[in-house]
Amino acid sequence: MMRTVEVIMVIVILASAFVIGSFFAVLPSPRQISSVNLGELSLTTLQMLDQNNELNQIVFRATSDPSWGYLQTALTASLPLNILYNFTVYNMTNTGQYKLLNSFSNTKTGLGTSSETASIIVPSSNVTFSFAPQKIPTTLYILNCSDANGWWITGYTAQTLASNLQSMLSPYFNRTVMVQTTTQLGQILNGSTLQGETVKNATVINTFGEAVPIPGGYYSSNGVGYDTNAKPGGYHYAEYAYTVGQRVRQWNWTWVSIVGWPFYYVSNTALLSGKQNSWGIYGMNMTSSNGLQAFLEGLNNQGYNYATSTTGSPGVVNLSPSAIYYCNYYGIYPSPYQTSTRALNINNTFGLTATSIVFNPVGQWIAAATYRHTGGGAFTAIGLTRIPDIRIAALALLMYYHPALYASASTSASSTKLVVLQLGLQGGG
Amino acid sequence: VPGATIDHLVAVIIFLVAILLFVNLFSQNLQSAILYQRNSQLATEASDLLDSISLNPGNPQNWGTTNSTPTLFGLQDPAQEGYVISPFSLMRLNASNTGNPISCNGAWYCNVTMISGGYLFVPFNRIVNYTTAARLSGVNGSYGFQLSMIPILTMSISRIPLMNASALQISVTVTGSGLRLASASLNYYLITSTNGPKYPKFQILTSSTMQYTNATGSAVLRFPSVNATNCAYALVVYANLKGLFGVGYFVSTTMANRITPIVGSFNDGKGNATILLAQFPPSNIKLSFNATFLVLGNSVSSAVQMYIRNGTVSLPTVSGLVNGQNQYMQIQIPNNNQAGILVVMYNSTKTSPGISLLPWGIGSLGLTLVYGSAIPSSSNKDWVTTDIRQVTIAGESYQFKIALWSLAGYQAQGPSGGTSA
Repeated sequence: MMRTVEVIMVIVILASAFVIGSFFAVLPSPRQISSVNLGELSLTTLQMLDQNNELNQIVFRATSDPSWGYLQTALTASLPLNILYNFTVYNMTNTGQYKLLNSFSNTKTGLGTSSETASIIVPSSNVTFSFAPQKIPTTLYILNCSDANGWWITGYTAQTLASNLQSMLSPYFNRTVMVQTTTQLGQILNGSTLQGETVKNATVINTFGEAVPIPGGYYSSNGVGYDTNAKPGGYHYAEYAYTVGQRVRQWNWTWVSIVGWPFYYVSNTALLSGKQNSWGIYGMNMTSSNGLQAFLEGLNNQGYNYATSTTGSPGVVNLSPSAIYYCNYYGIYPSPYQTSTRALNINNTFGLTATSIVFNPVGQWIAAATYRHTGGGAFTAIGLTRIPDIRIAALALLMYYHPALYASASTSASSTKLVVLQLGLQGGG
Repeated sequence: VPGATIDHLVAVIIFLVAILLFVNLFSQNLQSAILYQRNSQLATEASDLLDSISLNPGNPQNWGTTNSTPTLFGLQDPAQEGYVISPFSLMRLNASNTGNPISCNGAWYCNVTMISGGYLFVPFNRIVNYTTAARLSGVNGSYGFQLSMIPILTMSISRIPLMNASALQISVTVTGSGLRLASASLNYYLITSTNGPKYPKFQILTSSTMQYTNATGSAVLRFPSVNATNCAYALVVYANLKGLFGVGYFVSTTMANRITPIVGSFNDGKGNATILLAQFPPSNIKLSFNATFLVLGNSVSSAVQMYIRNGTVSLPTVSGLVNGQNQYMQIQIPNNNQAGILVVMYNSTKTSPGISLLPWGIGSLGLTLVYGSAIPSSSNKDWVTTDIRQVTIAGESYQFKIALWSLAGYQAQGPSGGTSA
């Protein structure tokens, strides 16, 4: 009998162990084991409802506004039928407290302990944001010469393009100077300042398209801007492009060509008044493809050799990932695809390296990029077809210099709401 | 002595029974805990995998607009942040909810989603199959999964028959999660095709004023200037209710011989996609056609408004002839991360015109997409966990669901059996 009693005592001990063990080994409910990630669902729901600032437009309205009802309908329609929700909007006060503004739910029994919550802060549309750009410590020259004509800038004049570029880019540069005449262009080519600005390391934007303003006098003289050895009927002014290339190297400039085949013409309405570019535009003379070749030779500090250059026609080109990033960063949104018929293949030639590529290369052709020369100077070539989109030129420059933007927001506590969405499962504990 | 023996026997029997009982009880607890742990891990895996696919564009990032096979699987729109899915990457998936494949020019094309008047055929040799996606996601052999992209807003569109009248009236009903949505705003455009002197005429009528659904979620769109008896037409409707965006369409065409647009290549290397225009069923009837690509822009609804305002967003128009000897014709549409709709109109000298639509980007026409392995039958008692995110595709609101199960072979038992929500 004693053995039986002992066994019963053992059973009691085992039973006690099981009960105690079970008491501490609390298993979670099946809902908690494998349920929808309610936190993420809540957050993505809020983000989706706030696309196009829809939440922003509703939560600042009076709670009697019918938009709140529509919002509740949208919320109900967007969630699976077995999801319970509690949507709450708080006013953020100046003291850092949150005061309930409005709330609605599709349950009265609460969402249980397994519910999860996500929240977003919705600023009012009255909040103003401002950006202070970092200044590029150089001078920006924009060619605005009144005594020159442009080509392949159809629909614009160089002057309107210059004005637009000034308003777009001047906030980013230490100083912006408009070069009003070809004479002034000759001055800066000589290294002379126009308004006390720093000539060295400057950026020069040629707004005249495929034509380049040419000063009279020295820069159009024999052996400087005029090639007397060019064969009869040849493109004598190609040598001017060579001289410009040398100056770009000498002064460490960044020369920007906004459209087409760079240096294809020279223009000066007084100097070339009796000449036309073969398309009926007077005050202009063709340098043909020899102009670009001469410029690159000058930039590379090699001897002048009268020769032709080539461009490619890759057709439709797309913005590079880097360009898309900077589009968003600087808020410049040209069409993401453009047509290029004057793309260059000069990367890793003439001592040039493409440091910021605007469009994805197509084969060996690069539609737009800034090329840095190892010995000084840089060349931004936008080889798109006409009509020029100066936003591409601005983007190319900003990609090259990538100045930082310092953002600041002017807001007040009452202009911000906290929107909270709590989700639970039907039948959840 | 006999009493002591009996005492021992009884004690041993009771002891053995008790031991067996408690071993069973403890093992049940242990088994439940292990199952719970496995199921919990499966749920976490599902959530992580869904985030991994939603928040990563894959590699290369633009694989959806190329013909290349990705080296990393992800569906995020590379030009966006957050839960925004690329409509083009989705086009390259070998969807499960497919119709019958077709053959054209010696190649086979997967029928991603077959809907009346709208066609999305993609080449089998350019699509990413489930095995590849599972391998690139790191779950091949360990987990099975199925992805579903389901528009939140659905639209039921039908023509209202009118007695003694040829004018066109169309009823639109907007629903979401089974709920009819009142006060949803509607933007729309009607594309009509009539016989022209040489090629079908393309005309587009846009909504002049915003319309709203009534208390039952319905609205009637009236086109008094359209004679529905002598034209083919396609209606594309965009609905919006406080942050929810949806699109629906309706195509009316009576022509038996139709031109079906087929994606021949996602990228021709020059920034374009190649589309084959093929005649199905094949016949010797000459069909004149007119193909127009409508660009939708970043947001479907804003694109509609932009279209109304500017009056022109149509891109290249191609005209030509398709006949029995030349069963397909190639055209190019721009492939530059902009969703759109290719509208193909066609007619013959003896028949009335017809219209076919090709959505360039899954979100363009609100298609539903299911991708992955079939969910195990409930009779297998495999534990299948699901998770869900709200995402945006081409400006449209979608639910992105994942169903995940283990391929290790363990089954759901005890209190945790079944399929989770």
